[in-house]
Amino acid sequence: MKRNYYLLLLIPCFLFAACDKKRERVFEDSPTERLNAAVANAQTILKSKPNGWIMQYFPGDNAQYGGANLFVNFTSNADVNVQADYVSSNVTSTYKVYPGAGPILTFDTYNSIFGFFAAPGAISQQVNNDVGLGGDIEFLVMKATADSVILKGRKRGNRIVLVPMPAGSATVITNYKTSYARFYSPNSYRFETAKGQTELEFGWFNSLLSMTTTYSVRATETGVSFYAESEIDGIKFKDLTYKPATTAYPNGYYDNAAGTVKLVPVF
Amino acid sequence: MKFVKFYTVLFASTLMITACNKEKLDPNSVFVDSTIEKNPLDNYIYNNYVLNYNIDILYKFVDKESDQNYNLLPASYNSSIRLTKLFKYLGFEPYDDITGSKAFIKRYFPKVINYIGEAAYRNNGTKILGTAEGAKKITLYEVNRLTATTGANADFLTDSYFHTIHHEFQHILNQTTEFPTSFRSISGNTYVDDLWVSNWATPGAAIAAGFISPYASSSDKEDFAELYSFYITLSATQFNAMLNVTGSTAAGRTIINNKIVAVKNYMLSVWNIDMDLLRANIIARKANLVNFDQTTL
Ligand SMILES: [Zn+2]
Repeated sequence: MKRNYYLLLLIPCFLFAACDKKRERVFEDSPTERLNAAVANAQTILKSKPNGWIMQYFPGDNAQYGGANLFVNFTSNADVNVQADYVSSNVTSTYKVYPGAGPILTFDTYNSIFGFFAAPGAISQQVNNDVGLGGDIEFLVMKATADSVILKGRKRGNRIVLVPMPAGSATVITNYKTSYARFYSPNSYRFETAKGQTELEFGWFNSLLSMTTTYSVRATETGVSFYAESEIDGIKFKDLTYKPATTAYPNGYYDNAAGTVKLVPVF
Repeated sequence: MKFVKFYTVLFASTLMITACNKEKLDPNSVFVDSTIEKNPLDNYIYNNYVLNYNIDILYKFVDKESDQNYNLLPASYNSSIRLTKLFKYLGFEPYDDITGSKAFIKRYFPKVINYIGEAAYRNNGTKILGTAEGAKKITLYEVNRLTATTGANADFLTDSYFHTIHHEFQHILNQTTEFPTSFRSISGNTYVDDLWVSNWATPGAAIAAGFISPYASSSDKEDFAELYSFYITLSATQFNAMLNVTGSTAAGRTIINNKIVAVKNYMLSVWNIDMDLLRANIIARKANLVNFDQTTL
């Protein structure tokens, strides 16, 4: 199935490459100069944040396993320090930005925080023997500006957003870890809307599964965020906010701004 | 599902496969960026590998240099330091000692050594531990298994890395000067090709059929490389124990010993290398492993 998909992609790629060569150059500087400038810009932006970035990371085809927040700080032209909401590790390894189809960001020595997602399942004990969670460690830099960096995973194609880590990063990281633990500790969840309830169970990592749909979830400081806009009973939502315990909801719940969708933990 | 861990039933029967791809290396595929700070390992590699042997070690993951059909993990910095130091000690210097100079490795060993953190796994649970692409590049997997504990274990080092390294190097020597066709006639039509995976109930059964390992039964080329590598990396005691494992037979041992004579003759007449001297050098280095510093650059 996957093979066929790639074959289909190959043909347009060849056509595109063929057309590309005939296209006249309209820019003053050469493609190589532009690419080198884009690489230099990405490198400069990534390194420009003293507190680093919050990387909204989603592994797997179609981001189907939910996401994590990785706290990445590019401390030199070669070294990167990584922490995460899902694990207590604090690991320094290396990275590089180099020219490819655009600037490519690669985490090129082993880092256990990326390793959990990128390892074959035979190593990580996730999903299956070969692919595992299918987390990328190489990314095409789609956009790099002072307020955000947008990446695209090279193997899985998932959109991965980096936003600057604010001052007081230790507190922010603690908040994320608390939020992560709160999301992950129930046995399961259910959606509640005016139309009724939908039971959910955990899939691999941070995914929630109904009978028909996979919901890809990432914990945020204030609640949870879904990889893409999601829908239940015709109501669309992307971010839900945590609400503390009430008499009716002794473990609290997450809801949207309109209060029309509740995500309720089940212990 | 959240609480269900994934355990691979197949893992127990995992087969170690040394695949030998014949892909060409793209000479432009190695990206070098002078703006990246050089660390102590970079400097060590430059001073000890590039300058002495004209060989580069890619310990940092380069996607284009790696098999994109698999999900691969990068090697860790600390394990890369150990393997880089050990590679010289157990991989190159025995040849330098026996041939009298670094010229032999410099001329014939693949120009690129690529490190990968864990094995490349197939969905059926089998994994790849090493590949050589023509004479250009050798890729070593499971580099992250190399730690202070495993690094002190000479048998682990042999099984995990150096058997593969010498095996792949033998293929490259054979590509430069083929071994005599008479070698193939010793085991004749008993090679089983891909069936080597399932053909032998035990290693002893392969020995009884005249093969030093199950993988050696796949073809005469693999047989030749397996015989060479097992012979020079194992002590006489270990090698004899292998030949006399449960299920083996005297008839099988005779076939293997005849083939060993052919491999030794080839190495001596074509490459002027006495395999017994090479083995003695490697065994002495393994015995002295406790005194070898694997971490200081
Ligand atoms: Zn081979």
